[in-house]
Amino acid sequence: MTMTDNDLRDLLARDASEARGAGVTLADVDRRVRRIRRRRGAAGAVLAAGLAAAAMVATAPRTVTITPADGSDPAAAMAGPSLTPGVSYLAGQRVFLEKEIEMGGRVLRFPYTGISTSVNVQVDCREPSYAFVWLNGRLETQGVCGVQRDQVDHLISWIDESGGDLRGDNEVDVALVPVQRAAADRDPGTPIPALGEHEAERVVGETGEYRTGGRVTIREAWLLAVAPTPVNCDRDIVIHKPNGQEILSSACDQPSEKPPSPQG
Amino acid sequence: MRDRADFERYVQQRSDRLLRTAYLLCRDWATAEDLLQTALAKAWLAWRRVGENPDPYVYRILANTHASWWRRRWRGEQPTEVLPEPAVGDSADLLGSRDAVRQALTCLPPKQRAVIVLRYFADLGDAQTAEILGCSVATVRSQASRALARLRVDSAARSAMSLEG
Repeated sequence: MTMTDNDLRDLLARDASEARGAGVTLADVDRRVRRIRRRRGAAGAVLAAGLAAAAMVATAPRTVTITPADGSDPAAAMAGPSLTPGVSYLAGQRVFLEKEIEMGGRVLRFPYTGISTSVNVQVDCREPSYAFVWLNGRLETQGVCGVQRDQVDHLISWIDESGGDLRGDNEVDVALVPVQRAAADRDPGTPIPALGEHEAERVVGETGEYRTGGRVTIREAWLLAVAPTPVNCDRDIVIHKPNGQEILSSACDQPSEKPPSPQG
Repeated sequence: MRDRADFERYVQQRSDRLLRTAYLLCRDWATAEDLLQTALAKAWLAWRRVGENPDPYVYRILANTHASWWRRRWRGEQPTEVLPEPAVGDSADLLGSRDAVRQALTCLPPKQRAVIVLRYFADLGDAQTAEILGCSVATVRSQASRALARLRVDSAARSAMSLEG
């Protein structure tokens, strides 16, 4: 016997009525949001690396070779800009350390051994927090962390751009405090100005230890020559080669400082 | 403007129904919870663009995510050209027929399954289903027709579908 469409409706309704499991809560959804954001962030780093590589290939200066045959002026206005590479840092995929944070109100030390000249430190928090991050004893970054009043899940992500060489043993310290501890008597939602080293230590010390949740991820980062900055290249020149060939090119202003060579 | 309070209200009011819809797509409760968590997370990330009624957007994510997982995982639910034979006989065999239809449902490719679930469980019309699945009304009707043929649903039901506007 074949079914009618009403039989099909009944069958589907009956099957769907036998619900099992706890269902889906807002907390489940929030956890999934954080996972999606983390995945998108990692994909963005890979994409940025690819785009940077493509930019480096695309910025080779061009020259035009001409051989004058009719005595006309070969120095036609065909200025092509040469580009001076700028510098940027990029977080890579290799993770040196990834640890759960279970305690707030205390400076937690995470020693690691790195193989890159720079480092990316990322802190995410499961509760509304304010995070401080030190690298080798120096307070490098701080900020809100976790889902705040704006319903946005804030992530701390910092890359060392001091130009030093972080290959070898280093120490990252992280401390979490409830966000209102750092906000003091400010109105909720107003930006929290950065605290100095002593102030940060005082706030952490006065908070006292408490149970919380978060994660610190320390990954490689590299100095990269990307996003070339155009300089002034409007002076036409003709380069005369020993074999009589003439090359039309452009002379550019000297950059203010010598760009570092790409590393990595 | 849609805000977090709107979203919380939406999840509270609709998650149960959406979970049952997700179950009918994938026929596994654990996977259905996973599917719905993903769909609601993506809906939250795009909440300001979702519009007055979030259901079509969430249904679309459910259907697309299910189709994508189905292609990747091949959970033994592969569409077949040859349908499992339903139990034939008189009305006493209706239970056997239901089991056969359930089996046939799990063998439908994701788009046909989505059309059946949206039409016969979510009670959506062809135009709404077309908008959710990102295809034309004609495609919805042809997918439904093929699905019903596979499920051996009464031909009167198939005729009724083709007359609907």
